[in-house]
Amino acid sequence: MPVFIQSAESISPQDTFRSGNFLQEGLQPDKDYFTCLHPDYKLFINPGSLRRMSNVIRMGLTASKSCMEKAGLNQPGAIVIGSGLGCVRDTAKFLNQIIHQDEQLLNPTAFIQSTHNTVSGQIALLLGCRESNLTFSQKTLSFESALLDALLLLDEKEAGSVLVGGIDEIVEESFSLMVRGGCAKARMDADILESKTPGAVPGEGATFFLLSGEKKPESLARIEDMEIVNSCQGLNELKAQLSAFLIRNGITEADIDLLVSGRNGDAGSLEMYRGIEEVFGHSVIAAYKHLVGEYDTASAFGTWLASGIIHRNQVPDTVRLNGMTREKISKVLLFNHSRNKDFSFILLSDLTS
Amino acid sequence: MNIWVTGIGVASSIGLNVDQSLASFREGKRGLGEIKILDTIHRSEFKAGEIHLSNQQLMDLLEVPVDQYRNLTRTTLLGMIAARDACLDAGILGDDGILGDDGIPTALVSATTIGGMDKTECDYASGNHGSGYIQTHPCGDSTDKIAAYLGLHGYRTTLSTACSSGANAIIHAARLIRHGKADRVIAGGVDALSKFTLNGFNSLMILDKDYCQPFDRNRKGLNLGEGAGFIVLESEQLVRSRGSVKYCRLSGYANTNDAYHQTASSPDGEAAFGAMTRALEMSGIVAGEIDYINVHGTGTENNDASEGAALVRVFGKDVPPFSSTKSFTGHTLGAAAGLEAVFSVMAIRDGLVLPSLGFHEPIEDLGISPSTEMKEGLHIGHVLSNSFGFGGNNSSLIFSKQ
Repeated sequence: MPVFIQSAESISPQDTFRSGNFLQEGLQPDKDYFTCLHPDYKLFINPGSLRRMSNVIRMGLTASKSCMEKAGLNQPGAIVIGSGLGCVRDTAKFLNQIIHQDEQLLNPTAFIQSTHNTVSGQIALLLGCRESNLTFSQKTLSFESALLDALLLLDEKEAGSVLVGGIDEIVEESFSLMVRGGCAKARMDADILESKTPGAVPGEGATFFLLSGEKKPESLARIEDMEIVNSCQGLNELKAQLSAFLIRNGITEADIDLLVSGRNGDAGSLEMYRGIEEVFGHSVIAAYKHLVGEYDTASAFGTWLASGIIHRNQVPDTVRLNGMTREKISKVLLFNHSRNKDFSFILLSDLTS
Repeated sequence: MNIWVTGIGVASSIGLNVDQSLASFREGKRGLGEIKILDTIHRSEFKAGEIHLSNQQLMDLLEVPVDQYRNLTRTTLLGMIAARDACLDAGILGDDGILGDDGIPTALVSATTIGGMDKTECDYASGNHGSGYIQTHPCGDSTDKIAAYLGLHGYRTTLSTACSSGANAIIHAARLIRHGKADRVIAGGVDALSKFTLNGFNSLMILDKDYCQPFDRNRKGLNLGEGAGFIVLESEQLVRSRGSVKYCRLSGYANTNDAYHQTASSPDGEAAFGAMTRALEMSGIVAGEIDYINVHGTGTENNDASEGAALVRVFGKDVPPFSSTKSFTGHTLGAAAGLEAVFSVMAIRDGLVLPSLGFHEPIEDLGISPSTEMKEGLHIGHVLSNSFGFGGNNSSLIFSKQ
């Protein structure tokens, strides 16, 4: 069954939330990692509840509510969220309380809000949605798992529409632990995408889509298909998987107008990205993690970018990786991986396809 | 399309496998007691369903290579035991007849609430930041390691929806099979006991210092536990071509949300009612055909009142025999629905109604009583398993013999 993106919303380190400015300028962070530009949450969440909420909850609630408003819907038929690390701030907060107070007289608020499905549960509360409500947490494939579940829900008509999203937050402490653990660079390079040092530049974001099977004039894009490849033996096997994916969709490499690459600044991951980018040497190639950073659900932002490009038929200069042009961006392929495993392909198209 | 259960594996404080668990149910022997392994100041204060084997003992049992030791959290180790047994039970074996890839792509859909927190909380507190806990902390880590241990290369993912996680893993797995995205899925959940959850539930003041008393009017709270439970689900087509031994079908399922409160269930159990009725509808059976219910039954004031109200709404005052096996294992959080799916399948396979411990007097106004004795030799055609969690998350699964 065809699935269409009816609306999309993203709170990100760029001016994306309810913004008409489609990544015209690339804002650079003042730290060694990316943090979100936060909207005025009071306009979306009552101030009493807002006070106790961590950023990831605020971002998730606000982005999802705005996404629903854009779609002109009060309630979705299901809510499916992906989050690699869940509620990082509250998890760290409760853990630190346990340590510093020697397991005594602990305040339960941080514990309650540390649960991975806090955001999806809070969205259900906010929207009064009693339908299916899932949270996937599979590292860098968390959003992809949620998206797959959403497509299956729509396909078997278990839900008429699905609110699907990817959320992850970063706090100072998690950044320093990522650096210590060798997952992130201590210092950001001037040119992230061509970096020769190991480790990505971390970031965060909350991105939501309202999906349904109905093609409307205002629909943004169509989700054609997706493929998750958890492990494979090198670039050649991955290329074979990619070929099979394209064949399954009745297209060839030449049909892809735009490749959205998940390049993230980690020198160790670059070869695999370059390998797939080379397959699409005649297509427009774009990247986005130099604008929002790397995080477990960054591919949700990539999907937001792809749907925006298709809808506007415009590729912002800030995301271009090569000089190719196409008159009409009809088919877009997203490619992501995490340190040479956990690969994903998502295929989007315009409404005429 | 029929989805068959062809293998089960379980590890908890009442047994490291299906047979040991069955023996504990027969003997009415709960696995709740003193905390001996987890390093907490609350050791003598709370009873828990802890598996009294150290991580090293678990690694020896699993014969994992020494170079893997530092990468394996307790969550991962417990998951390996149950998932391995589920594979062996389903006959997923390599050419040499021992555990391994039999050439049929198999997906793994696991569930956990805290992932590698057991390692994180030790190493973070002691400042041992080089121990690798940053890599083992995410929920998905245990799933990746279990898949690697079993030699599975297919799709794998992890659900984390609090105490209903394991049921939602089974639901996602069923969707994969229905859509031909997978022919065979190992699905369930795992969680290790941790200071994080013990202190979390203590801060919420919902831990019983004594043995929990699910569905008793004087119930005081839950006991935590740890463990893992996995079932192997196969498509009709694969069952036919492989000649798999079938235990039962996963005939119905539903996940709903209360949209009532972040941690509490609504008094009338609206979402629990919705989950059960929708699962029945999918199953194509009426409420009266359910022969046994493995309830969520945590033993907290709120859960049992809410779930009880929902049970009466669905079944009337004549609720079929039901029990909370959490009175044996403790509440194993993300693993709970995995364990209880295995117990539900056992109930069908062996014709059992499993017992509930700690029950004396029914909850006022409800007037329903769990089954307190092990009953054997019955015909159990349909079993309902309930799992509810924080965030208003409610799931019901129905297993059917035919």
